[in-house]
Amino acid sequence: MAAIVATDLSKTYRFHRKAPGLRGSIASLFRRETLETRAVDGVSFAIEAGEVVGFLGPNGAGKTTTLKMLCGLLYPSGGAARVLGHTPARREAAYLRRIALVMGQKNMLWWDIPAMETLLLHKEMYGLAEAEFRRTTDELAEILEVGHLLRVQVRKLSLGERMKMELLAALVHHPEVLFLDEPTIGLDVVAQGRVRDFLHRLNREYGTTILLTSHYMDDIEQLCPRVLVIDRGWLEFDGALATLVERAAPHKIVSAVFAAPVPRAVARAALPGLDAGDAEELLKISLTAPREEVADVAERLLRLGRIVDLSVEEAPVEEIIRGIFRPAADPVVAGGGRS
Amino acid sequence: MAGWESPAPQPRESLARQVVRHLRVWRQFVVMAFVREAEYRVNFFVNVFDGVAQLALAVATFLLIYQYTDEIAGWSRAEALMLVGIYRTVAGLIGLLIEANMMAIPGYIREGEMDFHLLRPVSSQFLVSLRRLRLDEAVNMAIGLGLAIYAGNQAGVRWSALGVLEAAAFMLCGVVLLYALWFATVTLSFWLVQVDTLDQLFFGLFETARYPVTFFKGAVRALLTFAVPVAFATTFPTQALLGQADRRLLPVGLGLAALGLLGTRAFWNHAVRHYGSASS
Repeated sequence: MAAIVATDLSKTYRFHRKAPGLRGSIASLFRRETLETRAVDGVSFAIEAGEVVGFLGPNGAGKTTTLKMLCGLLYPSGGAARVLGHTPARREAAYLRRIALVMGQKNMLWWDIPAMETLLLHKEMYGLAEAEFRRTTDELAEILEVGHLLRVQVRKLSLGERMKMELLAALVHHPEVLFLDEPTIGLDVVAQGRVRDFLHRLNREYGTTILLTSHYMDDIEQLCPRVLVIDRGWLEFDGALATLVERAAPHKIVSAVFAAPVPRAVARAALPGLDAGDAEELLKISLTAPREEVADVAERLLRLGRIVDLSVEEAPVEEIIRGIFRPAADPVVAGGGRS
Repeated sequence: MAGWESPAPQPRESLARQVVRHLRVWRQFVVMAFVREAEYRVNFFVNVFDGVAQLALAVATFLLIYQYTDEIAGWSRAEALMLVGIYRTVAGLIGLLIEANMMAIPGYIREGEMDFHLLRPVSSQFLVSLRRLRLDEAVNMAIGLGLAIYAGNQAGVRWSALGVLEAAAFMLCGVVLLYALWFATVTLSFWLVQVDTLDQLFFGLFETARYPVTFFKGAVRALLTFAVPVAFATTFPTQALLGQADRRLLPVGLGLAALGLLGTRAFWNHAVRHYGSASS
């Protein structure tokens, strides 16, 4: 069953433009030019219960706007959003009890008191029973390894510890759908890994449906079998990460390490187009080849001499994603949306 | 596309249960305020000292004025002092419950914290209006109440349960009306980025509550009674204790207070809808 359904979802922002300077300011008091930006433009997708889906796109592409429409903070200008059968923008208590939003750049925990107090506040807000609350808190605190920090003032925690607390606070009421906006932003590599492991476990053990945006491809690669790519308000791609990679990067990297050096002239003759550099002899040869020619290239390499190591790799995902958005990097147009 | 055609059936929460849940949330606000105060003890005492100093200044002003006269617009020295005590009590109550919240709301909107408040299954108006308590103000309140009782004895007040109840009711109306006025003002910050100057306007108006409304004449008095309801907060409670209150004003006050609450609720919901369609 689809937990999240977006049908032709759109969001248009209106803003005013004024001429620069004092004269422009005074003129704008009386007459303003109203402009519109389509931050999200007719986006449709469905996410099944229990899926983890990554939301990719450059800044201002409409990711956060879509996320906010799905959790109910923004009214769609067009189309419809349905989450767990509810219309999010109505923000009914029955709906809000079933979802959670975590934003990496904003904190919901009270800054100058221990996190436990905020958890207790959530217990009252969501009307959780004592036993249930204790069990969930203990369980999550153990997985996140923050049990000993629950009674420490939030402002004294490290960024990574604080993010884990934010997650804990967002999850005490057992939301069925979790919206995450850049949950690992600013964290060091170790902390990022921990948060990812936790989200993975949350999805596997509790079946929580997760929709996340992230700038870190590691997050997407390790967590999201499926990705949605949005750019300038348009849904450019919806499918498996592997398919996206295949489509966006038709090349693979083929590398071979030889037992004995291969003369450059021989290598050049076997592999036209090889950029061999200045060396007279080559011990390692690495080249990019179109997908359909990978087998052929590997065979030619094998004929060059005895091979110690041969590998065929995908181009790094991060590079691929950058490649997708490069044609769209027109700063004037892309700057129109806000995230 | 298969989906949840309608939400999973959930037992609908009765109004009584909702009220109980909100009360429990408020109790946790109180607990959190105590935990917070414990972290900032010096700050606590500085604020208490500040409150006491302000009170002393207000008392001194009145004593100075009354050196030259025994009565102003029918108010004797002791009666006027009693009003200063009541003013301090109301100011303390507002400081304790709502002041810090009203100052914080524009920030929630600017910094985006409002998003979290809007996604809780409790009334967002309740949440943003009451989540921060300033406990040091409770001390000021107690001192103000002490002064009101002391001055009341000097003014020859015959304390009765009915009089106290009546004064409390007037005070409640005044506090609710002042809240409504202030909350409506900060709600404007959904449209305006800066409302700090409007806060100053509010403080300026509330300052007038230190003087009996009968010091003022005609249009100004009407303004301070109905438009900016400081009279309900201080003058009428004092008069109620002195046995001089116009009882007909109590239902008027209660009606205005109810209207104020309903009005701010409607305005707030409208503003939140605007936020949903305009913000990012």
